[in-house]
Amino acid sequence: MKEEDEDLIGLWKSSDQSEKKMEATVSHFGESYFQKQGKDIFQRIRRNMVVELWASAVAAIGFPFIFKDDPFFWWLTGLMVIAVIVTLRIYGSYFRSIRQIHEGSIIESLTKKKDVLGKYIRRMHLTNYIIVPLSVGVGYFRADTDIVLFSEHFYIALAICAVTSAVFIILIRIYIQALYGKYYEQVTEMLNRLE
Amino acid sequence: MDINQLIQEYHPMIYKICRVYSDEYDFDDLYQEISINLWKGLKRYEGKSKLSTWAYRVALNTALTYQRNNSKHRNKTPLSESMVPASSSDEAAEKEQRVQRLFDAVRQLEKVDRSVMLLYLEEKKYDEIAEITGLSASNVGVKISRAKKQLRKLLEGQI
Repeated sequence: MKEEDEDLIGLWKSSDQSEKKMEATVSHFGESYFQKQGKDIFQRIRRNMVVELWASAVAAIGFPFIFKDDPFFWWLTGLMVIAVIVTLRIYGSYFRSIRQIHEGSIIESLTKKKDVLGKYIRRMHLTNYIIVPLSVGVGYFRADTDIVLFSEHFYIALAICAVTSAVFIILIRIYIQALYGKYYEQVTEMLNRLE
Repeated sequence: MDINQLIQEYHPMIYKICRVYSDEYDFDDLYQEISINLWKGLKRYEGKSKLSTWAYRVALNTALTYQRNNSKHRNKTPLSESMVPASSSDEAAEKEQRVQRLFDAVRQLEKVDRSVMLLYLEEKKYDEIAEITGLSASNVGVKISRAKKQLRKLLEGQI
């Protein structure tokens, strides 16, 4: 048995000899080779978050101005500022976790990955359930408020909004599962195998 | 140590990890991903563990959760032609084939078992494997024993 192991290790080590020939190809890597953005899922999440941060900053500035003549304008502006500050704090902790996600032992790294992914997926689902019906509703009812709200068409409009929201929510759920859900399951499975 | 020195030093390790965790089409991408993560992480390396232990951790963690980009599979040369060095003699060619069969067998193990087996074949001590994986030393022994059994089964009559 031990001899067999030594054979395997010997064979494995012998690949070092052929790899020596490859080393020449490594020396040509310049700074630009290492400065490229990583392509893994966590870099993608980080990039998405940067975009979301910019989007929320723009929304925070722009959204209250839709209601600039209303009495609750300053309340709304204050709420949006608080929302951006909370978002910044949450994202800050995400960025710190992502930066060091591959360092630490395999178990630590997988645990961190599961945690970051899990939180991100939950947040995406929550956003999906809140933003989609809200957007569809606001979009539909603001189009012609007086007619829709105070007519017999109100319930029909409500039904259309509900169906449209449901379709969007299902499609976004499929998207989240395909992009992040399967990956989360793989990470969980690997972690279970180790623990 | 600058990044080029680090990559030169750990090239055999990165090469083997890529050979075990990537297919013939995304070898280069995984190699680059590991190199980038080593380069970025090196600035934060505090010397709490050996540099080699740290490098194995970063490289294996990157490889374990690396997702291949299917759209890139087109117009690429398979690994067997581009990355495996051409052997000069029949004897060397035969040896390279045996090495290839060993890598193929390791590739058939579960992702996590591949890491443990790779570290074992790299002749890392149980303590160091435990430090890299986060398992206890006794658990490392159990995992290695199981993975070896499976590997022997896969290699039966092949090398």
